[in-house]
Amino acid sequence: MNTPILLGGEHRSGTTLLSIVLDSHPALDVGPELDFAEPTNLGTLVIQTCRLLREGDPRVLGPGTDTNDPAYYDVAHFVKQCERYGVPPATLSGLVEQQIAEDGRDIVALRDRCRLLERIGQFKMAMTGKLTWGIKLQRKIQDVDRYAQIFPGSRFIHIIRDGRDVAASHLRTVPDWGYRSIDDTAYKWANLIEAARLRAPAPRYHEIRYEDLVSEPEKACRALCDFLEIPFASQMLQHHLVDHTLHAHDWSHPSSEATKNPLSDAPVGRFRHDLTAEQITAFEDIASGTLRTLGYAV
Amino acid sequence: MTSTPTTQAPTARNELDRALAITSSRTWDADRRMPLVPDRGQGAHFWDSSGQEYIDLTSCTGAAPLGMGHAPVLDAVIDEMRRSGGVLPGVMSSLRTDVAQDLCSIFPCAQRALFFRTGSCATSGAVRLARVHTGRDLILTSGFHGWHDWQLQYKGTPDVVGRDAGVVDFGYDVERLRTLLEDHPGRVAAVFVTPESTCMPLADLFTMQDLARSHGALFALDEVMTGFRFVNGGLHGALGLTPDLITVSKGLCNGMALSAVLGARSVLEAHEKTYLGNTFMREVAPFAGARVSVDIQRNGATQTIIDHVSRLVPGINAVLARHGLAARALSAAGIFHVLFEDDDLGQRFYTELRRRGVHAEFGGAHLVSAALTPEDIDQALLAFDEVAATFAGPSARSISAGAFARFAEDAFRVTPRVAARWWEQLGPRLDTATPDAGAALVGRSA
Repeated sequence: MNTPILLGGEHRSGTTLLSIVLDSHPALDVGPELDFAEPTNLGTLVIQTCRLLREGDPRVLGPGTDTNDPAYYDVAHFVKQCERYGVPPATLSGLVEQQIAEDGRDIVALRDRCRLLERIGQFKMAMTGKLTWGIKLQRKIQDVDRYAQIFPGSRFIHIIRDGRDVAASHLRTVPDWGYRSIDDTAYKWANLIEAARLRAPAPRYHEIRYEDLVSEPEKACRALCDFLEIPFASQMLQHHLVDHTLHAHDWSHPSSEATKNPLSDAPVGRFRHDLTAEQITAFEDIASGTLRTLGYAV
Repeated sequence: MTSTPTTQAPTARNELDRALAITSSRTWDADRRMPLVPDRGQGAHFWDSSGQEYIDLTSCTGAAPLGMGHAPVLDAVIDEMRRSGGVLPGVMSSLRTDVAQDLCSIFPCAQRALFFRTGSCATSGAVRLARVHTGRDLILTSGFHGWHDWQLQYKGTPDVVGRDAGVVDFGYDVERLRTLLEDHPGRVAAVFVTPESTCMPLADLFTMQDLARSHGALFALDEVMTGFRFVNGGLHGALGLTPDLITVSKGLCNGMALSAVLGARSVLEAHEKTYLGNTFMREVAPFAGARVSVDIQRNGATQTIIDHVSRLVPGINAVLARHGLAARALSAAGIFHVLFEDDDLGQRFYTELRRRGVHAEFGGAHLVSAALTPEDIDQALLAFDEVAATFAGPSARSISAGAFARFAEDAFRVTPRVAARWWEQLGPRLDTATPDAGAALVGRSA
């Protein structure tokens, strides 16, 4: 396996923004999330779905990455996510066929799924000429130990945002798919952070606060580059001026539009006006310990 | 002896499709439980709608610890239905009083008993009683207590409206519990915990009890699973805990719906101030079945279950070790779990077990019945051996801290920090021949 950069964090924590910032670095090819564990398999089913997408079959189409036929949702979602990463269905299908032919088995086991990711990453590096590939693990960052074992040498970046702002974003910005209760957000936010911190292989794990990324971007990006052992690149501070494959094929990615804008700290502390006093108290009842540990005032 | 199924017959598939089309949930009834439609059972065996026979290692998720169709219980129930008519105009009956007396003689914490139908009803009743008794609103809880709205912190549809805002889950984290109690002085009615005896450091229960009492809160134990799987007196009796309230259900009436809240007289008397009735408490037959069920368990069946587990768990562990599988069975008295390093492999392992006529649920508590025979145990171990042989490979034998944490977080909703702490105590024991947390408890209760 190569040494990919694997990003993660709670939904609505700035994971997409971070991936775009990193992708702006001339040495890095960092894509959005790939939900590789959810489809029944990443082999024959992906090949079939790629074909259906190319044929415009309505079963695999819908708003964004949604599908008219729910049975195809997971796999079509993955195929469309790959296209966001700059790997169109025809290419993806070829990569999958190649792996099945080499292994003589379908792509079901987690290690085989990760080998396909590796293949996709290698393809992207060959296409872009960049030196390192990366994707978003999103919430799978809580299983950082598992992926550290599968991808020896990989590096993990965990972006953490004040959980109360995360809750505000879920409830106000993405009410159609986000967490719908304060309690649920608080439990999941706190547990994800705790799990990642406990299981991370220290030298290969880096945390960044969303608030630091948007308030002091140069300092935060220099720290990222130090961790990745690459020179700092000023393009990271101008991510909105750099082309990204996500924006070319965004399949209605919920953060695509926002990441076309320059970095801004305007969303920091939004919970103070987006949540009620009762909601803030409810969140803090559950997660005050984690908030304090991370330096957020309670 | 069971026959060895190869694949489900078409009629079984049709029955499953028919059930899913009109009533059953694919997520909760089929995928999480069993993807087949059972038709009838006897003892520790059951048959699906195609006539295929299985050994049950779940005792119907604990509902039938004496086995399915246990004759003395059936006879008592049928006789009572014939004698009394099965249902009476009032909710009081001599049998109900008798069962209350039986339970108060078994469980050390019990001075009074209040009855419900399901475990979920009992735990909700306990919460209500705690709130009314203390005049406080907040419940600090850990573990599974059922499906009612106040329990939605645990699993499934947590985003629906109407959740109980006065319930906070502390994920078995003693430090989080301490903080919550300090942050809410005078507000906490009860600390309500499901003891996960196979995995947790049981000393934590004493800490939780002490913390609750020191803040004027009640300490309640959900003994729905453990109540009749430890000899005479549930887990609290075995450990010497003194909860103010406990809930019991599995095993109270073998094969029939009956549950109870037991506890201190002063707390249970809060019932005078709050309505907790339901129409079907007028059924008397479950109380007749309960008298017999409780008596049989008290007089040897619980010990038989513990003996079965004591044979199954080392046998399973020997098989897993022989074939080099990174998996391990852990037990406490009459309960055991089987952990797999690789969840996918665990799922496939249990599917293969079922194909060989042995039913258990991957990831869940294995609650065997007293009805298992030595031959059933031999056959179950043979099935484990055959399946393990098909998955044998170069995989490491040890379970990792991460795998345990994923298991514990999913099965018990512990916080990651708690999972790591539990692992510190449990991990070294996994390399022993019999990682049985219950052995010490059984000795203590004897």
